[in-house]
Amino acid sequence: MIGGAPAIEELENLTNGTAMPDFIDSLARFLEVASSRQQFIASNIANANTPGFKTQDVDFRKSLQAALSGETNAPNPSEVAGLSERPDGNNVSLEREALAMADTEARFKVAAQMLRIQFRQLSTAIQGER
Amino acid sequence: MGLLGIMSVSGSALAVERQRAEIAAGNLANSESTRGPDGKAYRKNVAVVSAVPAYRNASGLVSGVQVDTINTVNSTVRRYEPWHPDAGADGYVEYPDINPAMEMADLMSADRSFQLNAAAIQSAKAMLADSLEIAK
Repeated sequence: MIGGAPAIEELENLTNGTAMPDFIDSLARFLEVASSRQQFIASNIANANTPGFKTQDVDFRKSLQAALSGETNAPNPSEVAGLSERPDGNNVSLEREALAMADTEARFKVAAQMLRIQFRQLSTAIQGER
Repeated sequence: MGLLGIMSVSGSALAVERQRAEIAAGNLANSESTRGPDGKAYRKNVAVVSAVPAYRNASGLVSGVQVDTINTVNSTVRRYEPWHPDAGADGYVEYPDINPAMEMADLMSADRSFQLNAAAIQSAKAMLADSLEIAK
């Protein structure tokens, strides 16, 4: 999966009728999945010239669902199918990884921003408008 | 390790790509060197790169990269140049078997990979900065 739906859509699903503490928790899990995916993307890019290396990735949506349902907090990386393989057995596509990197970074940014807003609202609720 | 892990993984790649570029540059520079410190023609070097486990996060092993060995390609091309000081008794001179076009391609590949890995570090940095912003 490269982009899929824009980051906002998954975040919108998170907000559906949840209380603020739950939403904050969901956002934290969202950040965790994004950060974990980014680590595998970085590893793919680092190994773009390693013979025999296979692209590893986590499915963002599935991992998020798993994290939210409490199944597991750790996304499961798997080898990506359908990539063209070079004669040396490496199948890293730099375009795909660059795109995935930008995508994941954007998702992370949006979620971090929303988390910040949540905390600010919480603090306003505690202290009142000053 | 989290986001800091990205820096160590991409950092290992920066080192590898720099080394690949150095080797390609060395090969290019010596493509006509008929005499080295050992008195023989220069031999082409090739970096052998392999994936290496950098650290384990909750999801599994994250791979970095390293230069395994630097292989020396033991082949030369012979040119008939009897006037050359390094010519053998039969008038042939041994030149390194280096194709400058291939070395250039290697150099560019290392260059591009270096750039992309640097971009990955930038991205990790931005994400770290974003997560610090949460607390503000």
